[in-house]
Amino acid sequence: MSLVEIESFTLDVQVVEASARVIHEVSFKLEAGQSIGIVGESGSGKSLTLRAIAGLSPENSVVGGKISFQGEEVSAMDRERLMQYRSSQVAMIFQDPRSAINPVRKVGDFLTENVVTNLGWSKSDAKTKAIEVLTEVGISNPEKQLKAFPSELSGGMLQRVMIASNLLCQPDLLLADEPTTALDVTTQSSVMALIDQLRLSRGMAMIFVSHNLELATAVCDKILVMYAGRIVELLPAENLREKSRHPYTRALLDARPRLDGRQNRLNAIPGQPASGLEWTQGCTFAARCAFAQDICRSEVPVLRKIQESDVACHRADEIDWDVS
Amino acid sequence: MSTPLIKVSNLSKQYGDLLAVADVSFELPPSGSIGIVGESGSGKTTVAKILVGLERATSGKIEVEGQDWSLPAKNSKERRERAKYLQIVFQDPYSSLDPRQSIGTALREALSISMKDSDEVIVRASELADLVGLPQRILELRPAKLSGGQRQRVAIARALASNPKALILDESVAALDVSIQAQILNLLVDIREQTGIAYILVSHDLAVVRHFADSLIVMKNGNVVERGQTEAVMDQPNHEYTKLLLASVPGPGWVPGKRSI
Repeated sequence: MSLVEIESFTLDVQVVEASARVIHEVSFKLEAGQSIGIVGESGSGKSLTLRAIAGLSPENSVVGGKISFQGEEVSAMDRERLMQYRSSQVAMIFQDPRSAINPVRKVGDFLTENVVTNLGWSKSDAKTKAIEVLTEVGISNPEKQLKAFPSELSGGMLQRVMIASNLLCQPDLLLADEPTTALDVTTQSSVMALIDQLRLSRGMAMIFVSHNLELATAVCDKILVMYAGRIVELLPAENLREKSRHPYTRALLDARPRLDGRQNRLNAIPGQPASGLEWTQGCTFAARCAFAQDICRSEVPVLRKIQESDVACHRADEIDWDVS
Repeated sequence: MSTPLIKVSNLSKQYGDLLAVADVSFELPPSGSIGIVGESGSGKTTVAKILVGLERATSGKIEVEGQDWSLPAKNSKERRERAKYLQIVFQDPYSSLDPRQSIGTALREALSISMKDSDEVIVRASELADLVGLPQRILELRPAKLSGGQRQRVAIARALASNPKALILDESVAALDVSIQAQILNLLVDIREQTGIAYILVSHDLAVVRHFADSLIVMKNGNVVERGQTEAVMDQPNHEYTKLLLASVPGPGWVPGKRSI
């Protein structure tokens, strides 16, 4: 049994008075201890997918398909079970720690609230353990920091506090939604190293949502590329740069300026990123794709296996990417 | 070397006990581009704000084509005069446009400051839309109907309305999706070719700076720690902090790590 199993997941949201589908048939599995990076642009559905695993889909939305955690369907969990699930089995790290942590409560209260209220720990146990995890995430003088308010800490420090809060309860799965996007690049490096090291030492699985392909590749086993609410490619992270086959994956890699040399012009992708709301008869990326043919505009491509990749592209095996 | 378009000498800004900008100097040649690189708290945005007169320098000198700009403009006449030299585009295209104003009105308003003839203003507004790659129908719309990339194009068009000689780009592509970021960067290169405009690029993104800026200064805690031609600094950084910044950017073979100097 996989740790997380997602089968034909769909999400419909209310737009004005009609219902519209934003996630289309997303399926993948995550094994215990494994890490998957979900990458894509705005509207790709990467965060909605992540949140659905924690049972945090938007109000007025309808989840279709099946999302299960250790064999148990998330949508079948009642209120009490969901609370327990979120407080002890999955942990979540959000992009902006400043908006995710209550600014009028002290760091210590934030850290111990969950384990005291939901898991019935004594306050002194919780405090001792909180000091331990703060030390583990590299915060010096943890006893003093417990009494600090979030406003007294820098963004990087606050993100460490958020990570520490997730470690108290020893979760099996870490859901990280752009955890370092709001941080400076040097801070990003050390926070990511921390997440990586804690994850490996505790055997935690992770789903890491990011728009940064390079960063996701560095910390994940697999990469799942989403576009307009669909998976377009799923492949081992080490294959991303050289062996990816979907034109969108290639175009994304190609559009970023390089750090090791200067190009005259960037290979921009024409048009706007589409969201899952945009309905087309064929492949949603066809409108922006340099390789699109008639079939791409008339038939939705399904994921198929080509060597180690799962690719949703009619032409994936024809295009010569110089795949080594 | 030709006379610089903008010359900043020994610029400092003190907030209470904090020295946010410490003795910063640089020159921007006509049609040139300089990158100001740094992390939060480095003082890079404060430098940009002083240049456009949103902050007052504690000491130091700013010269633009030989005129003394060290103090913010005294009155609206002087502000309008300075607007013909230097404009700024901010990071967030969602908050820098008036939500109640149509794009056409926003552009025409900026144009009417320097143009009196209303027919000419209308023609020029549609030329600006062309220049930044926006379809004409967008002029009728309000910002809420536009995507982030389109809004940033509007912000650029509006900044270009006074036909400035230099544009400050303060993290102007940081909030955009990768594919849109590339479109906007290409657009800025095209505009430079067409108009000969100079750029000051304020950014934390080293890859964007490498792509875009001829020379750069690296700032840390208000100080310039390294300066030079972009290629030279990025290929052979001298200062430990520049090395740290470069080593922190994920790329092939990168592993996250606790890096420090």
